[in-house]
Amino acid sequence: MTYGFPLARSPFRVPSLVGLCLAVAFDAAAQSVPDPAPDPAPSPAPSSASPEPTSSEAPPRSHRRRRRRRPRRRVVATTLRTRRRARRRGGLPAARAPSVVFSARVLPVALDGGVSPAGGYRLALHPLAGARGLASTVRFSLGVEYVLRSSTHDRADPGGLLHVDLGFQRPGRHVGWFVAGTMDAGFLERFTYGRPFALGVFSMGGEVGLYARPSARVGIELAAGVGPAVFGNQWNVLAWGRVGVAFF
Amino acid sequence: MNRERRSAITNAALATLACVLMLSCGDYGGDVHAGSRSYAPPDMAWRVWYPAPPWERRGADATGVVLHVPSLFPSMNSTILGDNVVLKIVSTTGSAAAALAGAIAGAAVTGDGAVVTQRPVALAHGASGIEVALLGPSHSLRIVAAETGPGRAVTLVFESTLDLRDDADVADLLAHFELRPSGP
Repeated sequence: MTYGFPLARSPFRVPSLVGLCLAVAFDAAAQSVPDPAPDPAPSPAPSSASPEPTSSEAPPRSHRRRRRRRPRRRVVATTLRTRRRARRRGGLPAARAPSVVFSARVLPVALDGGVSPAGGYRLALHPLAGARGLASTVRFSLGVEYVLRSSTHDRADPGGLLHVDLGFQRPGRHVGWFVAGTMDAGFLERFTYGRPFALGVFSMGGEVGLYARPSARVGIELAAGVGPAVFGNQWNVLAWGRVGVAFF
Repeated sequence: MNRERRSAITNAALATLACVLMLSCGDYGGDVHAGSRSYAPPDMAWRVWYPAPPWERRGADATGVVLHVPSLFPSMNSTILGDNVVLKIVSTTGSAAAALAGAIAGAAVTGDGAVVTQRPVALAHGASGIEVALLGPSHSLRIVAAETGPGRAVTLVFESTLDLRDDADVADLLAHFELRPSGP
């Protein structure tokens, strides 16, 4: 292969002596440069049975090996970032317990010789929801609950409770369950003869429930519990059912 | 190992004891007289069950008892100082009608502007009495009289700055008022 002086495309279209000399000199210099090294893997003899292309435009085999696709990395959803990436790729969310649960429960409360239904509306936080390993099986929640008891004479007694529960849970990708001991302490305000007065409330019990997680972020929690409670100087055996919205 | 086991047994025993104590203090809320205290005169002519709180006993003698519901804001009650409701239960001689007339005569809510309502009232165990409700400009009265025996009666006078004429809490207290109680 030689590199000819592109005289025809040069701006010096009119041959001159100087130009001619330059052209001769460039051509001579170019011819003195050695050719590049020959191909280290010369193509084999042409054969009609060979599947490999034999034309000089096909890349050599070594180049093709180098360009092979690397295996796709397996995404393990251990951090928030990898979980997001897995969700984008359509993968399953990691097993996880709910972080925040807003729930309502219904329970009969016996006071002053009469039984009236009460409703409790609870907001509970689960600090260990995002934990991994053994800590993820510990159900621990702190919450506040607003209670409204339908008392006699078309009145409603409001109340407030602080809630703690501690137990075992089995987080799941779609369904999980738990067993926990619960404790509530607070007050129930009553209103008679034009005067409000508060009864101290303390209750403890056990609760079993499950949560379903149809989407990665939101699910539902169902639970049932039973346990003794004291309202002022009157005690009860409470049994309740609870349903709530769980945020993961 | 033994120490751990002993500790676990101790914790379980303490928890059980706490539960038993919690359940044994007070009474079951579904009982008829849950949350209530009672008072009866020495002759056991009658017995009153009053929920405590809010009722408190102010004083008692051989003829009767005075109960009251204290106010949270005593300074705002000028007529009945420091009380939302006062209940005076007094044993008298004579018929129920005579006792009722005497109680009305002694009441402060009389004269012009007073609205008087008379009706029968149900007491415990199917007994009944006569009730007169008086609503004055500043406070109201509910007076109940019932016979406890031949020639003997009892009067209950509720006095309040609130309108007690149709108060359901008063009706509940009257529904648990026993004449000649036999049981404990």
